[in-house]
Amino acid sequence: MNIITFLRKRILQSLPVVFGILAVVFLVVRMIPGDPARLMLGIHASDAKLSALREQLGLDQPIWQQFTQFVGHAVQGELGTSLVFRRDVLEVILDRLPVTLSLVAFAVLLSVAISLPLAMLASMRQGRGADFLVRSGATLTLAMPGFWLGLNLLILFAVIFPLFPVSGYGKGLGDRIWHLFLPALTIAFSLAPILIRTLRASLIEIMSAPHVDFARTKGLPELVLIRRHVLRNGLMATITILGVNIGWLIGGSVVVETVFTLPGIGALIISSVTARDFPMIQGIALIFGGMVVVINLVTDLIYAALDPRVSYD
Amino acid sequence: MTSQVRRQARPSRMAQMGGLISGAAILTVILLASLLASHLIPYDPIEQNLRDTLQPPSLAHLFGTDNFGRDIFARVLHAAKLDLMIGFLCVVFPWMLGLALGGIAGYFGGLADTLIMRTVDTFTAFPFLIMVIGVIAIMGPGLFGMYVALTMAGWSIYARIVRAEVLVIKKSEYILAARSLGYGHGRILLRHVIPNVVTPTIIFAMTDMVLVILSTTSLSFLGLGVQPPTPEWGVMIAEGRGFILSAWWMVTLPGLAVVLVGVALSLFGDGIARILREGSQA
Repeated sequence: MNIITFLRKRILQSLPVVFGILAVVFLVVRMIPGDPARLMLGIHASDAKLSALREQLGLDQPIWQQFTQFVGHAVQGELGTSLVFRRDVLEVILDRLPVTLSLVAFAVLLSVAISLPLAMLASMRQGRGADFLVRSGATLTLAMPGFWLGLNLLILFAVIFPLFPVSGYGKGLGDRIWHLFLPALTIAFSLAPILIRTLRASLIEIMSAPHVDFARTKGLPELVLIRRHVLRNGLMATITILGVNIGWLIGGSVVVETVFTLPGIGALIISSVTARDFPMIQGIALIFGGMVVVINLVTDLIYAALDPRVSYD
Repeated sequence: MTSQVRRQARPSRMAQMGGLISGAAILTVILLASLLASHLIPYDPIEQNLRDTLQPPSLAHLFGTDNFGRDIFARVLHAAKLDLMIGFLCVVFPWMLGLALGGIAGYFGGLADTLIMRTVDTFTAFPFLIMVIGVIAIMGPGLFGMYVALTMAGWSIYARIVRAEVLVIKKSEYILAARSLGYGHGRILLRHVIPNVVTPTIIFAMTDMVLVILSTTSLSFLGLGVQPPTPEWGVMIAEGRGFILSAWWMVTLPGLAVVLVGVALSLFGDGIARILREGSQA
Protein backbone atom coordinates (compact mmCIF):
# COMPACT_ATOMS: atom_id res chain seq x y z
CA MET A 1 0.00 0.00 0.00
CA ASN A 2 1.50 3.38 -0.87
CA ILE A 3 1.34 6.53 1.15
CA ILE A 4 -1.57 8.12 -0.72
CA THR A 5 -3.85 5.13 -0.21
CA PHE A 6 -2.77 4.95 3.41
CA LEU A 7 -3.58 8.62 3.94
CA ARG A 8 -6.95 8.28 2.28
CA LYS A 9 -7.81 5.25 4.40
CA ARG A 10 -6.74 6.91 7.64
CA ILE A 11 -8.66 10.10 6.83
CA LEU A 12 -11.77 8.03 6.10
CA GLN A 13 -11.29 6.28 9.45
CA SER A 14 -11.14 9.65 11.25
CA LEU A 15 -14.37 10.91 9.67
CA PRO A 16 -16.77 9.27 12.18
CA VAL A 17 -14.71 10.77 15.02
CA VAL A 18 -14.81 14.23 13.43
CA PHE A 19 -18.56 13.82 12.98
CA GLY A 20 -18.87 12.74 16.61
CA ILE A 21 -16.86 15.76 17.78
CA LEU A 22 -19.18 18.07 15.84
CA ALA A 23 -22.24 16.32 17.28
CA VAL A 24 -20.99 16.55 20.87
CA VAL A 25 -20.06 20.22 20.56
CA PHE A 26 -23.45 20.91 18.96
CA LEU A 27 -25.50 18.91 21.46
CA VAL A 28 -23.76 20.09 24.63
CA VAL A 29 -24.99 23.67 24.17
CA ARG A 30 -28.50 22.41 23.31
CA MET A 31 -28.53 20.35 26.51
CA ILE A 32 -28.96 23.54 28.51
CA PRO A 33 -32.45 23.61 29.97
CA GLY A 34 -34.39 26.70 28.94
CA ASP A 35 -33.34 29.22 26.33
CA PRO A 36 -29.65 28.97 25.35
CA ALA A 37 -29.72 32.55 24.03
CA ARG A 38 -30.94 33.82 27.40
CA LEU A 39 -28.28 31.79 29.19
CA MET A 40 -25.52 33.10 26.96
CA LEU A 41 -26.48 36.75 27.15
CA GLY A 42 -27.63 36.84 30.76
CA ILE A 43 -30.88 37.99 32.35
CA HIS A 44 -30.45 41.66 31.45
CA ALA A 45 -30.19 41.16 27.68
CA SER A 46 -32.57 43.07 25.46
CA ASP A 47 -35.15 41.27 23.31
CA ALA A 48 -33.47 42.47 20.13
CA LYS A 49 -30.13 40.98 21.15
CA LEU A 50 -31.82 37.74 22.16
CA SER A 51 -33.58 37.28 18.86
CA ALA A 52 -30.41 38.17 16.95
CA LEU A 53 -28.49 35.46 18.79
CA ARG A 54 -31.34 32.95 18.35
CA GLU A 55 -31.12 33.59 14.66
CA GLN A 56 -27.32 33.21 14.63
CA LEU A 57 -27.65 29.86 16.39
CA GLY A 58 -30.66 28.91 14.27
CA LEU A 59 -32.69 28.13 17.38
CA ASP A 60 -35.97 28.79 15.59
CA GLN A 61 -35.50 25.78 13.30
CA PRO A 62 -36.00 22.03 13.91
CA ILE A 63 -32.99 20.42 15.58
CA TRP A 64 -31.79 18.31 12.63
CA GLN A 65 -31.82 21.43 10.45
CA GLN A 66 -29.87 23.29 13.10
CA PHE A 67 -27.32 20.49 13.06
CA THR A 68 -26.86 20.36 9.28
CA GLN A 69 -26.52 24.13 9.30
CA PHE A 70 -23.99 23.95 12.13
CA VAL A 71 -21.93 21.29 10.33
CA GLY A 72 -22.17 23.19 7.05
CA HIS A 73 -20.86 26.35 8.68
CA ALA A 74 -18.16 24.53 10.65
CA VAL A 75 -16.81 22.85 7.51
CA GLN A 76 -16.49 26.27 5.89
CA GLY A 77 -14.69 27.59 8.96
CA GLU A 78 -17.62 29.72 10.09
CA LEU A 79 -17.68 29.16 13.82
CA GLY A 80 -19.86 32.15 14.63
CA THR A 81 -19.17 35.47 16.32
CA SER A 82 -17.65 35.76 19.77
CA LEU A 83 -19.99 37.37 22.28
CA VAL A 84 -17.04 39.00 24.05
CA PHE A 85 -14.67 40.01 21.25
CA ARG A 86 -17.47 40.80 18.75
CA ARG A 87 -15.21 39.22 16.15
CA ASP A 88 -15.19 36.03 14.12
CA VAL A 89 -14.41 33.11 16.47
CA LEU A 90 -12.00 31.46 14.05
CA GLU A 91 -10.06 34.72 13.59
CA VAL A 92 -9.57 35.13 17.33
CA ILE A 93 -8.50 31.48 17.66
CA LEU A 94 -6.06 31.69 14.72
CA ASP A 95 -4.53 34.83 16.27
CA ARG A 96 -3.73 32.89 19.41
CA LEU A 97 -3.00 29.44 17.96
CA PRO A 98 0.75 30.10 17.33
CA VAL A 99 1.31 30.74 21.05
CA THR A 100 -0.26 27.43 22.08
CA LEU A 101 1.38 25.47 19.26
CA SER A 102 4.87 26.79 20.00
CA LEU A 103 4.34 26.16 23.72
CA VAL A 104 3.30 22.55 23.09
CA ALA A 105 6.11 21.95 20.57
CA PHE A 106 8.71 23.42 22.93
CA ALA A 107 7.31 21.30 25.78
CA VAL A 108 7.56 18.14 23.66
CA LEU A 109 11.22 18.89 22.83
CA LEU A 110 12.08 19.55 26.47
CA SER A 111 10.26 16.46 27.74
CA VAL A 112 12.06 14.23 25.24
CA ALA A 113 15.38 15.86 26.17
CA ILE A 114 14.65 15.08 29.83
CA SER A 115 13.08 11.64 29.44
CA LEU A 116 15.21 9.87 26.85
CA PRO A 117 18.55 10.06 28.73
CA LEU A 118 16.90 9.29 32.09
CA ALA A 119 14.95 6.34 30.71
CA MET A 120 18.11 4.99 29.06
CA LEU A 121 20.05 5.36 32.29
CA ALA A 122 17.29 3.62 34.26
CA SER A 123 16.96 0.76 31.79
CA MET A 124 20.74 0.17 31.59
CA ARG A 125 21.05 0.18 35.38
CA GLN A 126 17.83 -1.78 35.89
CA GLY A 127 17.18 -2.64 39.55
CA ARG A 128 20.11 -0.56 40.83
CA GLY A 129 20.41 2.80 42.55
CA ALA A 130 20.16 5.02 39.46
CA ASP A 131 17.06 3.14 38.30
CA PHE A 132 15.45 3.54 41.72
CA LEU A 133 16.25 7.27 41.77
CA VAL A 134 14.81 7.88 38.32
CA ARG A 135 11.66 5.92 39.10
CA SER A 136 11.10 7.63 42.46
CA GLY A 137 11.68 10.99 40.79
CA ALA A 138 9.05 10.10 38.19
CA THR A 139 6.49 9.11 40.84
CA LEU A 140 7.15 12.35 42.71
CA THR A 141 6.89 14.57 39.62
CA LEU A 142 3.73 12.79 38.45
CA ALA A 143 2.03 13.84 41.69
CA MET A 144 2.85 17.54 41.17
CA PRO A 145 -0.02 19.62 39.83
CA GLY A 146 1.15 21.63 36.80
CA PHE A 147 -0.18 24.95 38.09
CA TRP A 148 1.65 24.50 41.40
CA LEU A 149 4.91 23.49 39.73
CA GLY A 150 4.62 26.45 37.36
CA LEU A 151 4.06 28.92 40.19
CA ASN A 152 7.01 27.49 42.13
CA LEU A 153 9.28 27.74 39.08
CA LEU A 154 8.10 31.35 38.82
CA ILE A 155 8.90 32.04 42.47
CA LEU A 156 12.30 30.39 42.13
CA PHE A 157 13.52 31.50 38.69
CA ALA A 158 11.65 34.75 38.14
CA VAL A 159 11.28 36.24 41.63
CA ILE A 160 14.12 34.95 43.83
CA PHE A 161 16.62 34.48 40.97
CA PRO A 162 15.26 36.78 38.23
CA LEU A 163 16.57 34.75 35.29
CA PHE A 164 13.28 34.50 33.39
CA PRO A 165 10.30 36.82 32.84
CA VAL A 166 7.25 36.49 35.11
CA SER A 167 4.74 36.54 32.25
CA GLY A 168 4.15 37.48 28.62
CA TYR A 169 5.06 36.10 25.24
CA GLY A 170 7.84 38.37 23.93
CA LYS A 171 8.81 39.45 20.42
CA GLY A 172 11.24 37.76 18.03
CA LEU A 173 12.45 34.17 18.17
CA GLY A 174 15.09 34.39 20.90
CA ASP A 175 12.90 36.49 23.15
CA ARG A 176 10.00 34.08 22.69
CA ILE A 177 12.11 31.04 23.55
CA TRP A 178 13.20 32.91 26.69
CA HIS A 179 9.59 33.74 27.58
CA LEU A 180 8.30 30.25 26.84
CA PHE A 181 11.07 28.36 28.64
CA LEU A 182 9.48 28.15 32.12
CA PRO A 183 5.96 27.41 30.81
CA ALA A 184 7.29 24.71 28.47
CA LEU A 185 9.42 23.26 31.26
CA THR A 186 6.32 23.03 33.47
CA ILE A 187 4.42 21.00 30.87
CA ALA A 188 7.56 18.93 30.17
CA PHE A 189 7.78 18.02 33.86
CA SER A 190 4.24 16.71 33.90
CA LEU A 191 4.77 14.73 30.69
CA ALA A 192 8.25 13.41 31.51
CA PRO A 193 7.21 10.89 34.22
CA ILE A 194 4.72 9.25 31.84
CA LEU A 195 7.35 9.16 29.09
CA ILE A 196 10.08 7.85 31.39
CA ARG A 197 7.94 5.02 32.76
CA THR A 198 6.81 3.73 29.38
CA LEU A 199 10.16 4.30 27.69
CA ARG A 200 12.06 2.51 30.42
CA ALA A 201 9.85 -0.54 30.03
CA SER A 202 10.19 -0.62 26.25
CA LEU A 203 13.96 0.01 26.33
CA ILE A 204 14.40 -2.92 28.72
CA GLU A 205 12.47 -5.05 26.29
CA ILE A 206 14.53 -3.83 23.32
CA MET A 207 17.84 -4.43 25.08
CA SER A 208 17.06 -8.08 25.64
CA ALA A 209 15.83 -8.55 22.07
CA PRO A 210 17.71 -11.20 20.03
CA HIS A 211 19.15 -8.73 17.50
CA VAL A 212 20.69 -6.63 20.28
CA ASP A 213 22.09 -9.76 21.96
CA PHE A 214 23.57 -10.78 18.64
CA ALA A 215 25.12 -7.36 18.03
CA ARG A 216 26.65 -7.51 21.49
CA THR A 217 28.10 -11.00 20.88
CA LYS A 218 29.49 -9.70 17.61
CA GLY A 219 31.56 -7.34 19.76
CA LEU A 220 29.90 -4.07 18.84
CA PRO A 221 30.94 -1.32 21.28
CA GLU A 222 28.12 -0.53 23.72
CA LEU A 223 27.73 3.07 22.50
CA VAL A 224 27.40 2.08 18.85
CA LEU A 225 25.00 -0.66 19.89
CA ILE A 226 22.79 1.81 21.70
CA ARG A 227 22.89 4.38 18.94
CA ARG A 228 22.20 1.94 16.13
CA HIS A 229 19.87 -0.60 17.65
CA VAL A 230 18.35 0.67 20.85
CA LEU A 231 17.89 4.40 20.29
CA ARG A 232 16.07 4.03 17.00
CA ASN A 233 13.52 1.71 18.56
CA GLY A 234 13.37 3.91 21.62
CA LEU A 235 12.49 6.86 19.39
CA MET A 236 9.60 4.89 17.92
CA ALA A 237 8.28 4.18 21.40
CA THR A 238 8.65 7.86 22.31
CA ILE A 239 6.59 8.97 19.32
CA THR A 240 3.85 6.47 20.12
CA ILE A 241 3.66 7.59 23.75
CA LEU A 242 3.64 11.26 22.73
CA GLY A 243 0.83 10.58 20.26
CA VAL A 244 -1.25 8.82 22.90
CA ASN A 245 -0.71 11.63 25.41
CA ILE A 246 -1.32 14.56 23.10
CA GLY A 247 -4.66 15.30 24.74
CA TRP A 248 -2.94 15.42 28.11
CA LEU A 249 -0.37 17.85 26.68
CA ILE A 250 -3.00 20.17 25.27
CA GLY A 251 -4.87 20.07 28.59
CA GLY A 252 -1.60 21.06 30.27
CA SER A 253 -1.38 24.12 28.05
CA VAL A 254 -4.70 25.40 29.46
CA VAL A 255 -3.40 25.47 33.01
CA VAL A 256 0.10 26.67 32.18
CA GLU A 257 -1.05 29.50 29.93
CA THR A 258 -3.24 30.73 32.77
CA VAL A 259 -0.36 30.58 35.28
CA PHE A 260 2.10 32.42 33.01
CA THR A 261 -0.57 34.70 31.46
CA LEU A 262 0.33 33.64 27.93
CA PRO A 263 -2.09 34.84 25.23
CA GLY A 264 -2.86 31.33 23.90
CA ILE A 265 -6.04 29.30 23.31
CA GLY A 266 -5.82 27.58 26.69
CA ALA A 267 -6.11 30.84 28.59
CA LEU A 268 -8.81 31.92 26.13
CA ILE A 269 -11.09 28.97 26.93
CA ILE A 270 -10.95 29.77 30.65
CA SER A 271 -11.82 33.42 30.16
CA SER A 272 -14.58 32.37 27.73
CA VAL A 273 -16.11 30.05 30.35
CA THR A 274 -16.12 32.85 32.91
CA ALA A 275 -17.68 35.22 30.35
CA ARG A 276 -20.15 32.54 29.11
CA ASP A 277 -18.92 33.10 25.54
CA PHE A 278 -20.44 29.92 24.13
CA PRO A 279 -19.63 30.36 20.43
CA MET A 280 -15.99 30.77 21.47
CA ILE A 281 -16.05 27.68 23.73
CA GLN A 282 -17.62 25.64 20.92
CA GLY A 283 -15.00 26.89 18.48
CA ILE A 284 -12.09 26.06 20.78
CA ALA A 285 -13.48 22.60 21.54
CA LEU A 286 -13.80 21.92 17.81
CA ILE A 287 -10.26 23.15 17.09
CA PHE A 288 -8.74 21.13 19.95
CA GLY A 289 -10.70 18.00 19.00
CA GLY A 290 -9.61 18.45 15.39
CA MET A 291 -6.00 18.96 16.48
CA VAL A 292 -6.00 15.63 18.31
CA VAL A 293 -7.34 13.86 15.21
CA VAL A 294 -4.71 15.49 12.97
CA ILE A 295 -1.85 14.81 15.39
CA ASN A 296 -2.84 11.15 15.66
CA LEU A 297 -2.74 10.99 11.87
CA VAL A 298 0.70 12.62 11.77
CA THR A 299 1.97 10.24 14.47
CA ASP A 300 0.92 7.27 12.34
CA LEU A 301 2.69 8.76 9.32
CA ILE A 302 5.95 9.41 11.20
CA TYR A 303 5.71 5.95 12.66
CA ALA A 304 5.43 4.35 9.25
CA ALA A 305 8.25 6.53 7.91
CA LEU A 306 10.63 5.58 10.75
CA ASP A 307 9.96 1.86 10.84
CA PRO A 308 10.36 0.02 7.53
CA ARG A 309 8.42 -2.90 8.97
CA VAL A 310 5.27 -0.80 9.33
CA SER A 311 3.81 -0.76 5.88
CA TYR A 312 1.12 1.82 5.28
CA ASP A 313 -1.81 -0.39 6.18
CA MET B 1 6.44 -21.08 37.09
CA THR B 2 10.17 -21.72 37.31
CA SER B 3 12.08 -21.00 40.49
CA GLN B 4 14.13 -18.38 38.65
CA VAL B 5 11.08 -16.25 37.99
CA ARG B 6 9.93 -16.57 41.57
CA ARG B 7 13.34 -15.53 42.90
CA GLN B 8 13.21 -12.39 40.77
CA ALA B 9 9.71 -11.57 41.90
CA ARG B 10 10.29 -11.79 45.65
CA PRO B 11 12.25 -8.58 46.41
CA SER B 12 10.01 -6.49 44.16
CA ARG B 13 6.97 -7.99 45.88
CA MET B 14 8.41 -6.95 49.23
CA ALA B 15 8.96 -3.46 47.84
CA GLN B 16 5.40 -3.37 46.56
CA MET B 17 4.01 -4.41 49.94
CA GLY B 18 6.15 -1.72 51.58
CA GLY B 19 4.75 0.82 49.11
CA LEU B 20 1.21 -0.38 49.74
CA ILE B 21 1.56 -0.13 53.50
CA SER B 22 3.31 3.25 53.54
CA GLY B 23 0.83 4.65 50.99
CA ALA B 24 -2.11 3.45 53.08
CA ALA B 25 -0.49 4.80 56.26
CA ILE B 26 0.06 8.27 54.78
CA LEU B 27 -3.52 8.41 53.50
CA THR B 28 -4.95 7.25 56.84
CA VAL B 29 -2.93 9.83 58.78
CA ILE B 30 -4.00 12.63 56.44
CA LEU B 31 -7.65 11.59 56.59
CA LEU B 32 -7.65 11.27 60.40
CA ALA B 33 -5.83 14.59 60.82
CA SER B 34 -8.39 16.20 58.53
CA LEU B 35 -11.38 14.76 60.41
CA LEU B 36 -9.90 15.82 63.75
CA ALA B 37 -8.51 19.12 62.44
CA SER B 38 -10.70 21.34 64.61
CA HIS B 39 -9.39 19.53 67.73
CA LEU B 40 -5.76 19.49 66.59
CA ILE B 41 -5.39 23.13 65.57
CA PRO B 42 -6.84 26.11 67.43
CA TYR B 43 -7.47 28.13 64.25
CA ASP B 44 -10.67 28.36 62.25
CA PRO B 45 -10.18 27.56 58.52
CA ILE B 46 -12.56 30.26 57.27
CA GLU B 47 -12.79 33.03 59.87
CA GLN B 48 -10.63 36.03 58.96
CA ASN B 49 -8.08 37.52 61.33
CA LEU B 50 -6.91 40.74 59.73
CA ARG B 51 -4.30 41.51 62.41
CA ASP B 52 -2.22 38.46 61.42
CA THR B 53 -2.13 38.67 57.62
CA LEU B 54 0.69 37.19 55.51
CA GLN B 55 2.75 35.86 58.43
CA PRO B 56 5.64 33.64 57.28
CA PRO B 57 5.78 30.04 58.61
CA SER B 58 6.57 29.93 62.34
CA LEU B 59 5.88 27.69 65.33
CA ALA B 60 2.55 29.42 65.91
CA HIS B 61 1.58 29.10 62.24
CA LEU B 62 3.36 26.07 60.74
CA PHE B 63 2.54 27.03 57.14
CA GLY B 64 2.18 30.77 57.82
CA THR B 65 -1.00 32.78 57.31
CA ASP B 66 -2.74 34.02 54.15
CA ASN B 67 -3.87 37.49 53.08
CA PHE B 68 -6.92 37.22 55.37
CA GLY B 69 -4.84 36.11 58.35
CA ARG B 70 -6.15 32.54 58.21
CA ASP B 71 -3.80 29.75 59.34
CA ILE B 72 -2.73 27.93 56.17
CA PHE B 73 -1.94 24.65 57.92
CA ALA B 74 -5.46 24.55 59.39
CA ARG B 75 -6.93 25.23 55.96
CA VAL B 76 -4.75 22.55 54.33
CA LEU B 77 -5.87 19.96 56.90
CA HIS B 78 -9.55 20.88 56.66
CA ALA B 79 -9.31 20.74 52.87
CA ALA B 80 -8.01 17.15 52.85
CA LYS B 81 -11.37 15.50 53.48
CA LEU B 82 -13.03 17.49 50.70
CA ASP B 83 -10.21 16.86 48.22
CA LEU B 84 -10.04 13.14 48.99
CA MET B 85 -13.82 12.81 48.71
CA ILE B 86 -13.91 14.63 45.37
CA GLY B 87 -11.01 12.52 44.09
CA PHE B 88 -12.76 9.33 45.18
CA LEU B 89 -16.20 10.20 43.78
CA CYS B 90 -14.75 11.49 40.51
CA VAL B 91 -13.24 8.05 39.98
CA VAL B 92 -16.27 6.07 41.23
CA PHE B 93 -18.87 7.82 39.03
CA PRO B 94 -17.03 7.36 35.70
CA TRP B 95 -16.13 3.83 36.78
CA MET B 96 -19.80 2.93 37.35
CA LEU B 97 -20.95 4.52 34.10
CA GLY B 98 -18.14 2.85 32.14
CA LEU B 99 -18.87 -0.51 33.76
CA ALA B 100 -22.56 -0.28 32.83
CA LEU B 101 -22.13 0.96 29.25
CA GLY B 102 -19.06 -1.19 28.48
CA GLY B 103 -20.88 -4.22 29.90
CA ILE B 104 -23.94 -3.59 27.73
CA ALA B 105 -21.82 -2.97 24.61
CA GLY B 106 -19.79 -6.14 25.08
CA TYR B 107 -22.60 -8.42 26.21
CA PHE B 108 -25.33 -7.52 23.73
CA GLY B 109 -23.14 -6.51 20.78
CA GLY B 110 -24.88 -5.39 17.61
CA LEU B 111 -26.40 -1.92 17.45
CA ALA B 112 -25.88 -1.17 21.16
CA ASP B 113 -22.19 -2.03 20.76
CA THR B 114 -21.78 0.16 17.66
CA LEU B 115 -23.56 3.14 19.21
CA ILE B 116 -21.74 2.97 22.53
CA MET B 117 -18.30 2.35 21.08
CA ARG B 118 -18.56 5.15 18.48
CA THR B 119 -19.53 7.45 21.36
CA VAL B 120 -16.48 6.21 23.24
CA ASP B 121 -14.27 7.04 20.22
CA THR B 122 -15.68 10.55 20.10
CA PHE B 123 -15.28 11.18 23.80
CA THR B 124 -11.69 9.96 23.81
CA ALA B 125 -10.88 12.25 20.85
CA PHE B 126 -11.34 15.34 23.01
CA PRO B 127 -8.46 16.40 25.21
CA PHE B 128 -9.57 15.43 28.74
CA LEU B 129 -9.42 18.90 30.27
CA ILE B 130 -11.12 20.56 27.27
CA MET B 131 -14.06 18.18 27.61
CA VAL B 132 -14.27 18.86 31.34
CA ILE B 133 -14.12 22.64 30.86
CA GLY B 134 -16.75 22.49 28.11
CA VAL B 135 -19.20 20.63 30.33
CA ILE B 136 -18.52 22.93 33.29
CA ALA B 137 -19.22 25.88 30.99
CA ILE B 138 -22.74 24.48 30.57
CA MET B 139 -23.31 23.25 34.13
CA GLY B 140 -21.80 26.32 35.75
CA PRO B 141 -18.71 26.28 38.01
CA GLY B 142 -18.98 24.44 41.32
CA LEU B 143 -18.88 21.01 42.89
CA PHE B 144 -21.87 19.53 41.06
CA GLY B 145 -20.67 20.72 37.65
CA MET B 146 -17.27 19.23 38.38
CA TYR B 147 -18.77 15.80 39.21
CA VAL B 148 -20.82 15.76 36.00
CA ALA B 149 -17.89 16.99 33.89
CA LEU B 150 -15.35 14.51 35.22
CA THR B 151 -17.84 11.67 34.84
CA MET B 152 -18.55 12.61 31.23
CA ALA B 153 -14.86 12.94 30.44
CA GLY B 154 -13.69 9.85 32.31
CA TRP B 155 -16.14 7.01 31.62
CA SER B 156 -15.01 6.15 28.10
CA ILE B 157 -11.73 4.45 29.05
CA TYR B 158 -13.53 2.27 31.62
CA ALA B 159 -16.14 1.34 29.01
CA ARG B 160 -13.38 0.29 26.61
CA ILE B 161 -11.63 -1.89 29.21
CA VAL B 162 -14.90 -3.53 30.34
CA ARG B 163 -16.10 -4.24 26.81
CA ALA B 164 -12.84 -6.00 25.89
CA GLU B 165 -13.11 -8.19 29.00
CA VAL B 166 -16.80 -8.97 28.50
CA LEU B 167 -16.17 -10.11 24.94
CA VAL B 168 -13.89 -12.84 26.33
CA ILE B 169 -16.04 -13.78 29.34
CA LYS B 170 -19.26 -14.02 27.41
CA LYS B 171 -17.97 -17.05 25.46
CA SER B 172 -17.04 -18.99 28.61
CA GLU B 173 -18.89 -22.13 29.61
CA TYR B 174 -20.47 -20.90 32.82
CA ILE B 175 -22.19 -18.09 30.95
CA LEU B 176 -23.54 -20.61 28.45
CA ALA B 177 -24.64 -22.74 31.39
CA ALA B 178 -26.44 -19.78 32.94
CA ARG B 179 -28.13 -19.11 29.61
CA SER B 180 -29.27 -22.70 29.25
CA LEU B 181 -30.70 -22.57 32.79
CA GLY B 182 -32.93 -19.85 31.42
CA TYR B 183 -31.57 -16.92 33.40
CA GLY B 184 -32.42 -13.49 32.02
CA HIS B 185 -29.81 -11.23 30.44
CA GLY B 186 -30.02 -8.74 33.28
CA ARG B 187 -29.24 -11.36 35.90
CA ILE B 188 -26.39 -12.87 33.89
CA LEU B 189 -24.87 -9.45 33.21
CA LEU B 190 -25.09 -8.31 36.84
CA ARG B 191 -24.35 -11.54 38.70
CA HIS B 192 -22.05 -13.44 36.35
CA VAL B 193 -20.37 -11.14 33.85
CA ILE B 194 -19.71 -7.85 35.67
CA PRO B 195 -18.16 -9.39 38.84
CA ASN B 196 -15.63 -11.16 36.63
CA VAL B 197 -14.51 -8.08 34.70
CA VAL B 198 -14.15 -5.70 37.64
CA THR B 199 -10.48 -6.40 38.46
CA PRO B 200 -8.78 -4.71 35.47
CA THR B 201 -11.02 -1.65 35.89
CA ILE B 202 -9.98 -1.32 39.53
CA ILE B 203 -6.32 -1.61 38.54
CA PHE B 204 -6.83 1.26 36.11
CA ALA B 205 -8.89 3.24 38.61
CA MET B 206 -5.97 3.17 41.04
CA THR B 207 -3.67 5.01 38.61
CA ASP B 208 -6.58 7.15 37.44
CA MET B 209 -7.19 8.51 40.93
CA VAL B 210 -3.88 10.42 41.06
CA LEU B 211 -4.65 12.13 37.75
CA VAL B 212 -8.21 12.87 38.87
CA ILE B 213 -7.02 14.56 42.09
CA LEU B 214 -4.60 16.64 40.00
CA SER B 215 -7.43 17.55 37.61
CA THR B 216 -9.88 18.53 40.34
CA THR B 217 -7.34 20.77 42.08
CA SER B 218 -6.49 22.27 38.67
CA LEU B 219 -10.18 23.04 38.05
CA SER B 220 -10.54 24.71 41.42
CA PHE B 221 -7.33 26.63 40.75
CA LEU B 222 -8.84 27.86 37.47
CA GLY B 223 -11.96 28.99 39.35
CA LEU B 224 -14.17 26.29 37.79
CA GLY B 225 -14.49 23.88 40.71
CA VAL B 226 -14.75 24.44 44.45
CA GLN B 227 -15.37 28.11 45.20
CA PRO B 228 -13.67 30.25 47.86
CA PRO B 229 -13.75 30.67 50.82
CA THR B 230 -14.13 26.87 51.14
CA PRO B 231 -10.68 25.51 51.99
CA GLU B 232 -9.53 23.40 49.03
CA TRP B 233 -5.94 22.96 47.88
CA GLY B 234 -6.41 24.32 44.34
CA VAL B 235 -8.43 27.28 45.63
CA MET B 236 -5.75 28.08 48.20
CA ILE B 237 -2.98 28.01 45.60
CA ALA B 238 -5.07 30.26 43.34
CA GLU B 239 -5.50 32.73 46.22
CA GLY B 240 -1.73 32.72 46.77
CA ARG B 241 -1.06 33.54 43.13
CA GLY B 242 -1.40 37.26 43.70
CA PHE B 243 1.21 37.14 46.47
CA ILE B 244 4.07 35.20 44.89
CA LEU B 245 6.30 38.24 45.18
CA SER B 246 5.79 38.59 48.95
CA ALA B 247 4.33 35.35 50.39
CA TRP B 248 5.68 32.23 48.65
CA TRP B 249 4.25 30.00 51.41
CA MET B 250 0.69 30.68 50.27
CA VAL B 251 1.44 28.83 47.01
CA THR B 252 4.19 26.37 47.85
CA LEU B 253 2.98 24.82 51.12
CA PRO B 254 -0.64 23.88 50.19
CA GLY B 255 0.76 22.24 47.04
CA LEU B 256 2.92 19.95 49.16
CA ALA B 257 -0.32 18.39 50.44
CA VAL B 258 -1.35 17.56 46.86
CA VAL B 259 2.07 16.06 46.13
CA LEU B 260 2.01 13.99 49.34
CA VAL B 261 -1.46 12.63 48.63
CA GLY B 262 -0.47 11.94 45.01
CA VAL B 263 2.62 9.97 45.99
CA ALA B 264 0.70 8.06 48.68
CA LEU B 265 -2.05 7.19 46.20
CA SER B 266 0.55 6.04 43.63
CA LEU B 267 2.26 3.76 46.17
CA PHE B 268 -1.06 2.42 47.45
CA GLY B 269 -2.50 1.99 43.96
CA ASP B 270 0.57 0.23 42.55
CA GLY B 271 0.48 -2.15 45.51
CA ILE B 272 -3.23 -2.95 45.14
CA ALA B 273 -2.86 -3.32 41.37
CA ARG B 274 0.02 -5.77 41.86
CA ILE B 275 -1.98 -7.89 44.30
CA LEU B 276 -5.09 -7.91 42.09
CA ARG B 277 -3.05 -8.76 39.00
CA GLU B 278 -1.39 -11.72 40.72
CA GLY B 279 -4.75 -12.82 42.10
CA SER B 280 -6.38 -12.78 38.68
CA GLN B 281 -3.50 -14.72 37.13
CA ALA B 282 -3.52 -17.44 39.78
